[in-house]
Amino acid sequence: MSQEPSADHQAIEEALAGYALHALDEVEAVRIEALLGAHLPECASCRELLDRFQAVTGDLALAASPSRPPRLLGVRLRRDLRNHRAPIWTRAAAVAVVVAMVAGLGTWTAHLSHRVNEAEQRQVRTTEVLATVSHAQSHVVTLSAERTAQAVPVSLAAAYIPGRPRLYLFGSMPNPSGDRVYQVWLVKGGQFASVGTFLPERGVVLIRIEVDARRYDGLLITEEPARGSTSPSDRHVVRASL
Amino acid sequence: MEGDHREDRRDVELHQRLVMGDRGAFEELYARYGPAAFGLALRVTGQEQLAQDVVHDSFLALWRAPEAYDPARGTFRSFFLSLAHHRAVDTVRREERLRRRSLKVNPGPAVGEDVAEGVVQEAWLESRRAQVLTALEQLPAEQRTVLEMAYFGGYTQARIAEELGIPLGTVKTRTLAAMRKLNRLLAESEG
Repeated sequence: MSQEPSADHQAIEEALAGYALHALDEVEAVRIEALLGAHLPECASCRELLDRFQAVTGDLALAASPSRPPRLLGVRLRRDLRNHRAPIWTRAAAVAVVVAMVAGLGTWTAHLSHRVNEAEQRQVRTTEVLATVSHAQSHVVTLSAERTAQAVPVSLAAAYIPGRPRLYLFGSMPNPSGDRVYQVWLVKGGQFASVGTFLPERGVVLIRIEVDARRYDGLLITEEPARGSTSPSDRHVVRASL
Repeated sequence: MEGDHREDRRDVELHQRLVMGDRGAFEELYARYGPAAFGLALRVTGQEQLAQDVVHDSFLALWRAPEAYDPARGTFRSFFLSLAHHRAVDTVRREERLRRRSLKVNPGPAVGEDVAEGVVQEAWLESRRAQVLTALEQLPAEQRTVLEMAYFGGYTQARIAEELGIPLGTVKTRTLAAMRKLNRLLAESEG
């Protein structure tokens, strides 16, 4: 980082400090996340600075006088632990995965709270997907890998609430080979309808699709040329039955 | 310092066991960070019940989603205490009407304070705490004020500007200066 950052860079660093301190109001947070989302992927020094600021905020906690938690708090916590661990891709685990994704990207894709493919919507999107997978009636569906030769394992799920026109895809997967992209297809009666293309952000996927999942039989993700395709290639990556 | 690094490595080991669902690892992490988290939550929320809820929810979140911590991005200590801090701030903003600053059970400022309750905390954390307090003391007063209002008061930067009657830009500038200086001082003290 230069000793005398530009005015724009100064604004970015001020945003990093406010973000790390959790001192932004909701409106400002959305604006800042969009700002950081555009800047951090291109700026290693700011990514490093955000990590360092977050370390500072962790240390600042120690400035408060430590205080032994009441014994009953431990009792309550241990009781609740028994009810809060679930196998992978149950609702609770889906929440956990989303939280993990959020934390993983948070330090440097700026969409701190919610790292979706659209930077400016990241926080909103993660809140949405968390609300969806936490909903008592939500369906969480594992997407099964179609190709086993991938060097990095694919771990994706889809979540939706029946009757609501939103389907979320989330999890992790490697970038496609070469200049290719991933393309999402919805399947109905043997017909494929393209939803769009995407690239993972540092291995993380968090996508919202504006459809009622109940109207479709399944979902397929393929690898396609950079501009996408009009029909799916044979490079299937994952699929799921809805 | 080597002792701190040893403890950081111990945290990583415990975290790895936690990912596998090891209750013993959870208990040890609770013993290590419960007092710090509870002290922080008391300081931010000013209410014991709210503070208990913050600590409860923070540890439960850790249990449910241990994968949220990535050792490549920093120490477990920073990760977990930041998590507790965010929850405390969210709680106090949500429950602001319940604030009773005059009845705070864990009042600030921490700077220069010598706290008897420190005995409930492990020595290596007390050592780090002393470094943090020393670093805070070295901040100019106007920087420390905005930092503490944000961090311990749970105020947004816009609210701080209102409360202090200064431009928002000034709050941001002071905050950045404070964070830069703390980063430098704490990195130096950590060795």
